[in-house]
Amino acid sequence: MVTTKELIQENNEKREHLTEANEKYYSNILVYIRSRFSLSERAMEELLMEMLEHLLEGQQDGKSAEEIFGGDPRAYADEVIAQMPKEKKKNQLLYGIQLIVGVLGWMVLSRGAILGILSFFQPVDEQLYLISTAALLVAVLLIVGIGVVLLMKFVRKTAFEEKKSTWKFTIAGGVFGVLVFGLFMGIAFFFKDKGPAIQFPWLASLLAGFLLLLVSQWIARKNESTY
Amino acid sequence: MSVRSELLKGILDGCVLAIIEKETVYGYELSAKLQKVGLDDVSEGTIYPVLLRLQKNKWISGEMRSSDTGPRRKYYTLTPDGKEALELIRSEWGKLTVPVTTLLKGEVDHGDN
Repeated sequence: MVTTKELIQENNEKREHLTEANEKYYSNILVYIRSRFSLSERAMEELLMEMLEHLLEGQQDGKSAEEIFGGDPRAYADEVIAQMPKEKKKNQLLYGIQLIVGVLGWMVLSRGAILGILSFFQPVDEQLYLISTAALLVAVLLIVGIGVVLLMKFVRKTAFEEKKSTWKFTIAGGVFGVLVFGLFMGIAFFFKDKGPAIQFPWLASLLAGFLLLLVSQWIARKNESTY
Repeated sequence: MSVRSELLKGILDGCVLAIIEKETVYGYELSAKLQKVGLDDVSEGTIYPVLLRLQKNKWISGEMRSSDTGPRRKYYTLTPDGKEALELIRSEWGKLTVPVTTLLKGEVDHGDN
């Protein structure tokens, strides 16, 4: 059976055969539907592939996307979304774990890399303060979570706008960036060198990060095979 | 929305089931068949929400067939539950059409005479 990943890949390739107007119409719907995290990813990609194939076949018969899916793409997409099955709770949970392990992996990996490079120029502090680290981890996860949710909300709101207003996005992104920066400064100030410390050399950090990323990938593959 | 598509809404599930009962079809084929029998003012895209709902009810099952070249299609077949549902829709529709047709033709005396 074809995997979800392959369907996404195939969708990207086939979309290029659409006419400009049809591509625009279809891509708006695609972005709008994919922004729904609670829906079954498998069902989502199967439906998007069906719609794409339908559109390609209709295109050859001289039909436009409006003629096939109607003049109100948002209403049509909402109608489809209302009938789509939800993602299984188990898959949602695995997805969450995969994300957390992945973020953790990148953090540990970059700590190892930064300390490793620095250690060539100056002596570095390879101590890991447990409470400081925990606070930083919570903050990063929170920011990733909130960031993703906000981004999806924004995508959903603007998916069908004729002229994509990039300035709104720029301002929202800027405000978010300032808040994130403030949060990290706050953590660096209030949680500096807090809690028991353990010795965690940069090479170990690098390897541990790499291992965590592998685990995250493994969970992703495990998750995909259970659809 | 036209009167016809308004009327069709309730029975479209039955029409789709009836086509799938005859043979396994994919989306584009299904919409072409609906148009061919004369239901041509249903916009083609309408079938996808219907197909999703029928799958949710486990009345039909869809299978994405792999093909290395050419289109990737999802083929739908009727399940035993779907067969049962279709039979029910058939008999209910039969019970409705006769009185409705009589009424709309204006052949009913309203008990006045």
